[in-house]
Amino acid sequence: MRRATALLGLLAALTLAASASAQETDTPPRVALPPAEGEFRPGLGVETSHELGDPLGHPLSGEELDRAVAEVATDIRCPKCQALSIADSGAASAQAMRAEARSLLSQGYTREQVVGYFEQRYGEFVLLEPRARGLNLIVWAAPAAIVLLGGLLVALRLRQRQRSADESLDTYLRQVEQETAT
Amino acid sequence: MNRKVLLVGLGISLPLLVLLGVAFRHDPQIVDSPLVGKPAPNFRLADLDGNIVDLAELRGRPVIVNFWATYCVPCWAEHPLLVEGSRRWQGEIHFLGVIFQDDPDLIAQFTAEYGRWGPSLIDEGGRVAIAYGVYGPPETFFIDRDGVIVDKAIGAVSPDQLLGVANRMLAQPAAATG
Amino acid sequence: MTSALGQGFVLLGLIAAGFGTAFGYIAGVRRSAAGLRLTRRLALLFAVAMVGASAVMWYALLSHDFSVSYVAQVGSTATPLHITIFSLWSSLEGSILFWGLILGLYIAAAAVFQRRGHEDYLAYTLATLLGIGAFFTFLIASVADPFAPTPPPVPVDGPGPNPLLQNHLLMAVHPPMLYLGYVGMSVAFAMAVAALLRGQLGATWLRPMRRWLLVPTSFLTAGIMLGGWWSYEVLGWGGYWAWDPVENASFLPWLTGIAALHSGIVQQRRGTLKAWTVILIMITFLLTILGTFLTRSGVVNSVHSFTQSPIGPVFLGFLGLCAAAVVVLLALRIDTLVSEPSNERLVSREGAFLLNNLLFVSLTFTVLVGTLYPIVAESLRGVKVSVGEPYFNRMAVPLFAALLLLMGVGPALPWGGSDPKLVRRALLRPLPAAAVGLVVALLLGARSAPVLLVSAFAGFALWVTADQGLRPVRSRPRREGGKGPLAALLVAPDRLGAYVVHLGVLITFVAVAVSSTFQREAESTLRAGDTLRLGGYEMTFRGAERVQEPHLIRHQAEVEVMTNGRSRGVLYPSLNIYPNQREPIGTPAVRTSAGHDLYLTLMNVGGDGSIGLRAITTPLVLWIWIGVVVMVLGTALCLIPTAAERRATTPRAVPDLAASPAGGGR
Repeated sequence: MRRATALLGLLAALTLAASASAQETDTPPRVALPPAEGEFRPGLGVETSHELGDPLGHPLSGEELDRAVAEVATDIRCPKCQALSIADSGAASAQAMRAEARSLLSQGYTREQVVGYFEQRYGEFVLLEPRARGLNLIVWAAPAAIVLLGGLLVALRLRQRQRSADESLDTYLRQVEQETAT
Repeated sequence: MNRKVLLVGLGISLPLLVLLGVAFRHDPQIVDSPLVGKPAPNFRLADLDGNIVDLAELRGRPVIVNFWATYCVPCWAEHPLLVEGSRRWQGEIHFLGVIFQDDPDLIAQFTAEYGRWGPSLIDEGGRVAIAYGVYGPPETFFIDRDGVIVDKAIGAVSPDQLLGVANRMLAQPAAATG
Repeated sequence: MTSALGQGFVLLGLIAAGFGTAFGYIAGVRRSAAGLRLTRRLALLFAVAMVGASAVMWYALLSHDFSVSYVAQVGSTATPLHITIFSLWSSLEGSILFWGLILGLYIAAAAVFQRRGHEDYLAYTLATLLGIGAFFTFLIASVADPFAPTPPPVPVDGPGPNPLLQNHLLMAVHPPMLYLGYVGMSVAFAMAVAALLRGQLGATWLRPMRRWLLVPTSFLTAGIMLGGWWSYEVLGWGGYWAWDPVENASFLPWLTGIAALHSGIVQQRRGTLKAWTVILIMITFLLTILGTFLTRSGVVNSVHSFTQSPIGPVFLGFLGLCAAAVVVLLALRIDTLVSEPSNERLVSREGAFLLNNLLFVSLTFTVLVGTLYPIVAESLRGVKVSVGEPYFNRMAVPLFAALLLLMGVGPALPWGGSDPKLVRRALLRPLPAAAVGLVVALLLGARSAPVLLVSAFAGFALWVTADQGLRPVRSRPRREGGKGPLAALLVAPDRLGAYVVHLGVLITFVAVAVSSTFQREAESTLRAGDTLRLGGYEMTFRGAERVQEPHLIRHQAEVEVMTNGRSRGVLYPSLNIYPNQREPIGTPAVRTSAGHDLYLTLMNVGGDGSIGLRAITTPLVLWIWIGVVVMVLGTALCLIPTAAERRATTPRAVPDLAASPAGGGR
């Protein structure tokens, strides 16, 4: 009974969503696109300077800036998507975040500062590579540990196998000697 | 009975199973915001009519900032509640809507039809949404009189949460200047 | 009516599987021929029931019978016919039913193909398979019932399947391939269980077991590749592998399956590593269940995962049960599988196989840890973390590079490897090929040490693969007159197939390495007439149009592609808007050539007719898919019976001596 009502609710929600967004889809998906740098209306926007501190690097531009943006973007998870980085995703949020990274890097903030800014806002979840500290060390150390442990097991096996093979060879040789001696 | 195999097998599979069992208690879609307990980032934004709203100037009264869009179904669900809340605490709590990646015209249509609970602010380039670490609409931030984020709702805000947090914020004495 | 019929078939399957499990184990213990016959019939009955249930569901889908809840959930009268057919596996309940269907077909195949000469093993095998079947039919009959009647009022139309699945025909083949891989692992698993219960694993059982492992591994290879291809053609981000948890889930059993295939070779040649092969097969099976659990339960964040459902806890219970059964069974019986004594050295073929297994197991473990760590962090630290592409690339790439090196060194080394002079010669001869690989990479502009190293390894491995693969041609007896090179190769098709698979792996490996290293991209907002330039391409935006289709609205941009002032054709990247999905879904336009792909994605469409266009050039993408096709062809070669097997066509006639070469009854 409960399942039935839940299903009904789900269907209702879906048809609602379908009918409501049908009107919306008549217009192209107009999304407030990140404007080019310096296009913000004077005085509008969000104050981020006190969270970020002073820029610790030097302002980037041109190809150097492109490279830095790409580097930062591959390490930041797109909040709307699943496993994609903001470098790979075409979602509007990802585009906005790339634009933000570009703006900050061109102001002289370092890559680490920009990554730190996103982490501070969205939480550790946006880092595609967990920072190597605390419990996170598991994820960095475990693979190395298993390679070493496995290597050790293989080495032990080889030694043991070789010894037993030598022994059986020895007994065989002794047998041969005995037989040829008689 | 090979003890070694038994111990190694149990040693690997038991913790794994316990872990997966525990995982059911968490919703993978919800990420706690690191911003709760921190000062709310200041913003100056224009609403649909061109009026400028500056968060810093609202200090002294609690503020509820809601990121929303017309395409998001939970946003419709919470809309009446926010309308209700803005009436109930008129003059006591500021309600601010920040448009999350949506067409201002659609927002205007929507509020004309279903009522409005506060100014709808245009977040060009989505920079405010980034400063607040918004994953997707709707997200609601509760900012107390001193400009500190005291709570956050992900998805449609529930009446209980709205009532509880609003009363808590109102009960707090106005420490800073109004 | 339809609901009842479908549920009836499922119930029939559940009964057949339940009794089949019980009878099968009893028949196995008692070695009863009558019991085995009955078990085989129940196995076939189970298959019939699954085929029947699926047919009923297909009928309901095609006739838009919205009184069946699954049809109400994924069906829509606006959905094109072919997509309606595929929607059987587009959502949770249907995909479990589809799983049941494939399991049924596998069980029937095992019951038919393995019927001769393996009576002692077969009863246990079928019993185990039917046990798994009982679980899945139980799921279908209870928490994941696709046939549940829709509560009234019955809707006149439904929402249609997930738009992502409607976007490309690859969705028609990717899930079935993956399922054929996943489910097929159960057969090898059941055979390994039978070997443990019998306390014997000799060549006559190992051979079919390896085959039953080879087939699903090959399906899994194809399935993973098709998934990557689909991701590339549909998701519009220009890549094919994102290390998404569910991608990883399909990758894990693939890795252990391959490890088991390799350790099985050693077992075939040397009679060692018996217990280890069995353990690997069991782990492979458990990983398929784990992977399914991760996909279906919603405990991980992933593109592919189905939403949270009551199926999760039940599946976890099953995983726990399987894990417990496997551990206890292994602990009780593993000592019955005694390896033959043999000498092993590190620098020998055997040593290479051991290292191969070490690397594959390490890779599996790394991917597993990375995939599950977010759950660990959340449980112990209460914080959500991500483990994504940068991590996996950093950890897995060195291991893959080591595997590439081993793929060159291993097959070059002689079995036993006792003569150092022989070993030295075997390793020195391919070195010029390694140098060629290095020079080619340098000429192509590679400068980073890892890329150069991988190129040298690839050259080495390519030489060894060709040398070993063609060895039967060179060493064929000249005097036997008339025996051509091809006939010589086909004396041992499995050997040839193995090297063809290696060749495919090499192609894919190099293509992946090159495509990920030399990818370039450009992005810009364009108005009609504007041009975007990237690596010799000039892409001119001609205009966008809005196309209304029955189940979607498509914004399609016309982009003319030119190189050196000559037109190379027009590409149409598009953005599809589905009524039940907010984020528009882009369909990229790809221009593929042997050298590289030009990949255009429409990022957005502005109200003023401008578009955001992203262009990516990626070299050698085509060769990734070609490499996989070569791998699958190689696998097919492996399945051809060898000359020796063809001579012994009636296995019954051959005494079961080989089953325990070191003297029977251990």
